[in-house]
Amino acid sequence: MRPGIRRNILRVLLCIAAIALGEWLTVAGMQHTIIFDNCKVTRNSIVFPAVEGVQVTIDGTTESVAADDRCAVKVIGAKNSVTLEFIDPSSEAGKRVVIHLALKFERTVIVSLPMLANGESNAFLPE
Amino acid sequence: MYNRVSRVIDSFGWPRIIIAIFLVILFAITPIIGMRLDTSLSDMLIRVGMNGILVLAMVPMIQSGCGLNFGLPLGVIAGLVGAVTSMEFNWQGTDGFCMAVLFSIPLAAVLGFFYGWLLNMAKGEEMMIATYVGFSSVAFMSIMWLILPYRNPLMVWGFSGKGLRTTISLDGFWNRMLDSFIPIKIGNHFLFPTGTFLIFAIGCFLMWAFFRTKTGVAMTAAGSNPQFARANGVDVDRMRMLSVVISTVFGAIGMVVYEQSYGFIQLYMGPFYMAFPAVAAVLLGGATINKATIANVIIGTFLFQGILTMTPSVINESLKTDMSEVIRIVVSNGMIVYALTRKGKERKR
Amino acid sequence: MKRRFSLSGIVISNLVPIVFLIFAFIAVPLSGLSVRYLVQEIMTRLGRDSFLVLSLLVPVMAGMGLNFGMVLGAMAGQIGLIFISDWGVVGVPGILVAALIGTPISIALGLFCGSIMNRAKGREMVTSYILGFFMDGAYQFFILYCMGSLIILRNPELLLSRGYGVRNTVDLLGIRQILDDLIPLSVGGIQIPVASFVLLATLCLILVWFSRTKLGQDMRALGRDMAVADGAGISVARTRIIAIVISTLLACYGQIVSLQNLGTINTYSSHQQVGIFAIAALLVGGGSVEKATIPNVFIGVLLFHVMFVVSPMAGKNLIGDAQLGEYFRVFVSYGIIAVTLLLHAWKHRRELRDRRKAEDSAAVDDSRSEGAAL
Repeated sequence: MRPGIRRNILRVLLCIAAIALGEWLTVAGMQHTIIFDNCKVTRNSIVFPAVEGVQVTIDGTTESVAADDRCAVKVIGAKNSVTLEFIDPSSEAGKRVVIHLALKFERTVIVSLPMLANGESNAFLPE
Repeated sequence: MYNRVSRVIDSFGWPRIIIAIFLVILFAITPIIGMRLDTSLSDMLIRVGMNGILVLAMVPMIQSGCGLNFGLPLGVIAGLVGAVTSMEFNWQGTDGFCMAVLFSIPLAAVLGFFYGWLLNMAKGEEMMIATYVGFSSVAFMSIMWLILPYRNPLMVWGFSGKGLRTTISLDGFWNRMLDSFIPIKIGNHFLFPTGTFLIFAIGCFLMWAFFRTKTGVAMTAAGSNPQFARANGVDVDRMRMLSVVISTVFGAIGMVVYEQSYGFIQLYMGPFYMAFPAVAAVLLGGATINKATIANVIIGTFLFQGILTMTPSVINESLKTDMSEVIRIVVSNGMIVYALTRKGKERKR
Repeated sequence: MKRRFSLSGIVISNLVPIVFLIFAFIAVPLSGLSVRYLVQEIMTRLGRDSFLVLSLLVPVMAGMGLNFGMVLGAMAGQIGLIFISDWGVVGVPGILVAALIGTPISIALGLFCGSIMNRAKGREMVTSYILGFFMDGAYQFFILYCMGSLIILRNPELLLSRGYGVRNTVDLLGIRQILDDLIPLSVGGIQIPVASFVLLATLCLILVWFSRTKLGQDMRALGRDMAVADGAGISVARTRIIAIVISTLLACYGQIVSLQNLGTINTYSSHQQVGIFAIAALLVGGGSVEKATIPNVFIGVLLFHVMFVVSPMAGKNLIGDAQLGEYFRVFVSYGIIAVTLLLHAWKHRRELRDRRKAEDSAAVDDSRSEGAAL
């Protein structure tokens, strides 16, 4: 191979590596705001009522979200796991739900707690 | 025929032609976007008169081989002191203006002497040293403005009574004195600043005449070929010193003229960047680092102030944004960079 | 040649730092600031600003004088930081991404600056100085008009009220002090930004290694004598451009380091001061247009920042006006550069004259010996 071509191929590879590195770092370092929404929500004609006495733990921060309320938590990075705990003494006492979020470039996501509590896989609300 | 044209273009320089054409286009557009041609023309002429002498101040130092006078702030400061002193004693109108000029000249001469001495010590990096001497003196004067014993209530800070204000209005003193001297008014929107132009013309004539005298010729020789000049009995150092003094004095006068047109005296950091537009203007007019003629000054000032007046207004009107600051920076500094990168005559030290 | 070891010789060649030291001794007690406060400030500032001053070393080595074009690198770094603020990338990854963004911009600007400086041989410093202003205009055009309109920013908080153009100040909350606090160390109540110092040490080692590589040697040869280097086959133009590109890159990273400590970007003015103060610091530390070493950098940053911190209070206590101290600080910064350049030019002339005299007298001796031989 001619040295000129080889040098250019190396340069292109370097650029691609740099961009890939940049993307990986950006995802790793990006700060997202997760809003936990505890209001009544309807999807596909199924009604999810607001949940009482729920506590959300994410990345070590614990927040309780009252019914018909919202709560915002800032997290960094791509892999985050959310733990829902119900401390309400009635019916579903002690029930825990754990979901894993894989966030990439979104800045803000809204998670619907009622849906999450009922085992819905896609509990994201549009903004 | 083609050869003649290309030679003219070469000597004129492509950038100047481009800018001149650009300026004409700008003027042509004004009526289309709803600006008044006569107001624009009038504005431009006023600015030319305002800045003209400051640009003239560049010539002696370029000719004597000291390079572009980035230390113009020294002359400007002398002009400011003159103006402020004249106001302190409440001289108004023509008296005020003349007093301002008269006060600033001796100070400018002294400062120029000091500055010239510095430059003679520093052959080789004159321009950089000039810049920093200029800057540090502006900063130094800022300290001075605070503590010098000026007392005129129109000039000092309100409640302490001490220390000059940053901007002092010339209203009621000699604001626009020259501009309104024998004004030529055509309609409501066009004012030809006769007085200012007269002074500019006198200044140009004096400079031109000076360079035809023996001393002037000696100065040019000192700049273009120091060794030859020395061999012919010219004291190169003395010529350089003289050129700096003249430059500084013109700078001082130029500043007073500028103030009367502008209407305000700007102290403290005002004079900081004042050298750059003048440098850019003379370069735009075709001067190089070691050669400048009066024609360069006149053409350069017209072109430069034209661009500075017209481009922001036109762009502001058509795009509804205020880009004047950015354009000013790009155009003036771009011109200077262009001039610096041209291969001028190789100077023999 | 006999080396005259005279006290006056030492004083003259190190005049500027000595003057500054004397000044410091007078001004520090005058300002009434506690030593502890001073030491803390110096620690922080050393960690923050030394990187930028180190970027000036390479062009001096290559004989190109003081690279005022480092502001171009600073601009590139700022653009990188603006982007990561917009995207919300925080922490160490944030800094790395800003550096990654700033790198290609710095290289491009460095190439531009270097080629312009090549066309203005003998006037590099003035040219780079004005070029800095020119690029400032271009940068402002980009930041004030393109950002937000042509280049979409996601975070509306960064924009001016009119909808496009970046705001005057950008908060870097996400990466604020991230380097400083990375490895926290507190000695006697004084915070020491360990990570920053580690970074600086690494850079110093890299610079030392670099000056021993072939490229580094080429540059040093260029710095000593351009004609000789050219004759030896070194590509003068290319090496000079590379020197400027390296300097611009380092300035970019240095500005990122500096701003992460400050925590805020003054979008329209942060980069302007950078050039002046870095160069002033280098000169204060004993560096000159022709020779600048790593100790110059650190001594310079130390002394310069002492002056910087102490002036306002000293001015206030001396004359009763803090504003005076501000102006005094500006005056000293610029005055130092003027004085140093002056001394340098004067020394240069003296050397030329001495050399010429030596040549003349050698010629006379030659002719005399020739005459004797005849």
